[in-house]
Amino acid sequence: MSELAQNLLFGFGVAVTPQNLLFCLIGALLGTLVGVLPGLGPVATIAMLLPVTFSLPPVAALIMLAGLYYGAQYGGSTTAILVNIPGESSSVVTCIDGHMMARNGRAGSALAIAALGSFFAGCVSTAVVALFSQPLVRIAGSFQSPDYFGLLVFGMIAAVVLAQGSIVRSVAMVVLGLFLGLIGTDMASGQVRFTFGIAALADGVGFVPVAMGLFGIAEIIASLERGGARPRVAEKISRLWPTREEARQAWPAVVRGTGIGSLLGILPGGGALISAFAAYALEKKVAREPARFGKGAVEGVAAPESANNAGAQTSFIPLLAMGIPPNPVMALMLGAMTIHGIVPGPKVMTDRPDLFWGMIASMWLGNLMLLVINLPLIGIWVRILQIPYRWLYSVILIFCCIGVYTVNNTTADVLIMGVFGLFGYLLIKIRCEPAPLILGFILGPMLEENFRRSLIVSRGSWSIFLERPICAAFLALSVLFLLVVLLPGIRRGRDQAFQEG
Amino acid sequence: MEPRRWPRVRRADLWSGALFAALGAVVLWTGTNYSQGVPSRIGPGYVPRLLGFLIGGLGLFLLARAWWATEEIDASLAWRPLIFVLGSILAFALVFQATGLVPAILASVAVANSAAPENRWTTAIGLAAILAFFAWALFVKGLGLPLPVWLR
Repeated sequence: MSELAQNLLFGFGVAVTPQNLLFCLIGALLGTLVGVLPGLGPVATIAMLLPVTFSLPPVAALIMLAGLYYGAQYGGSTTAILVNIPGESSSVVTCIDGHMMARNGRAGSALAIAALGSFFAGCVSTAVVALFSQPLVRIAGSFQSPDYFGLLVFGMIAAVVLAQGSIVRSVAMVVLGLFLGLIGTDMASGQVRFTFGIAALADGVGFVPVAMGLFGIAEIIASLERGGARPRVAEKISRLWPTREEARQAWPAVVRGTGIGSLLGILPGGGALISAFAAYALEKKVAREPARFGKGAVEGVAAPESANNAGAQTSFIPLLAMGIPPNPVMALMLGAMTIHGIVPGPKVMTDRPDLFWGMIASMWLGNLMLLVINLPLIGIWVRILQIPYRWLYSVILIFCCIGVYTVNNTTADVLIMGVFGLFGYLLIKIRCEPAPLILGFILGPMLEENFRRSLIVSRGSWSIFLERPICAAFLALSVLFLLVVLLPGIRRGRDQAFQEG
Repeated sequence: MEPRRWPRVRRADLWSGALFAALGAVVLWTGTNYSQGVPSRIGPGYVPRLLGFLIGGLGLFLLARAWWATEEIDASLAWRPLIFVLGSILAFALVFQATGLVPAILASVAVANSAAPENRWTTAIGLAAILAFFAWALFVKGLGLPLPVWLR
């Protein structure tokens, strides 16, 4: 325990330098901004900011990018409550009761409850990250290639099962992503493969252009199609403090939401989105009068908002401890670490303790900043929300182009982004989720490498994947997950949970 | 297409199935160029072939499922934003390749502006000027990235 306290103290020492505090604040503020703005998410923004982080020391860069992710969870609720549009996909369920509260003249308390709940969740999940990373690092240290292979497979299956949309199509998207990740030079043989004669692909398809195309460009086209009417913020925010009655109702929901979020964040495939949905569903289950939900129930704001923040933060655990990104945002964080020459995985904690503990400490500080600055700044966010989308999309578009170009200083990446923008838009049209693809894309090379090494060890026999108990357990869990979710009853429940929570 | 005569044409599984089946075929076809290796030392074509079978197989399964799964897609494309957004990316890449950041931004905003029908040409001029200035101030002056501003 004292070791943990010592480590945390060391982390605060790193995070409290003026430079790191500044970048934590910038990250948190930018995160809130993209959270507030519908049609611009953390994935596209982190991708856009990657070039900006080149000139920073790695610790400052990662602190800023982390702040962006949890900042977005704070910002998303503001838009959801005030204009009934999810500023962030993880705030979809907050719209339901949050906006009803606003229409009943309780916008202020809804915002305050969302912020306070998020802050509580942020504190708890920071502690969870600090507590759980260390033992996980120890476990991961004993993993061998087949075990990593099993874990990767399980992670992808869990991601598909816990996400929205058709499972078969999502599995196909993961596999397609795995393949796209293998394009370029094969690490083992040095042979260039599947480039279709395009020289720019010899080093592989870049992660940033793919992510920005699928999440940035495709989303711009889809948003323009929906028509960007200026969101109306009709309600005046009167009082910003919840009543005693509201606080009494919200408190247990915050605790439950935090618990669910912390748990689902750690799972491979978890993160903010699924946490919010699950927390809302649970509140409806345990409520004495479920009929209040949808009519402005305080718990319907408190639980999902706490959960998405907790889930956002604990999803750093698999990345920091094992080097495995559980969701697209963490995949980008992995990309950012690689750019700065850090190999994510169990070694980060021992080799770069400043980075590891500094980032954890910065999460708590960032949450505190968000709580303090956000409520007074709501007026500004509302003003920004009034910027018409027909101006905004050009700005996003240009920043995507410049951002993609600066990663490798090549216009070929800009064109690749365009191609994946088109592909992403078509995928939205045929109802395929792009998130599993990007996850597979990141994990593809890792999966192949561990598969290859396992087969070297076993002299070509596939049975090694069943003989190693850890790997066999992961594979069995994967099969179980798929079977369970394909059972009609549970499947209906899953669809319902995603429809409106 | 007539929904009554072709009730299955709009099914989501039909389109995704066709896509994945085709992609699987492409992967397997191109994959024949690469060595499989032996199981204890797999070659560069080994894992891609496994993935190709999986993609194609899932595609075929989806095609089959399209017979009874009724989920539908909205069979329309938003051509205007699609063309102008992609066109603006193309414009950025080409102009930037030939000149520098500022002309690329001007060209790209000029094309992107038409993606939203209610935008006027005055919007484009205003946005392009502001964006060109900000991009220059942030990326070139502020962050010191080595980007050509006017000409390379």
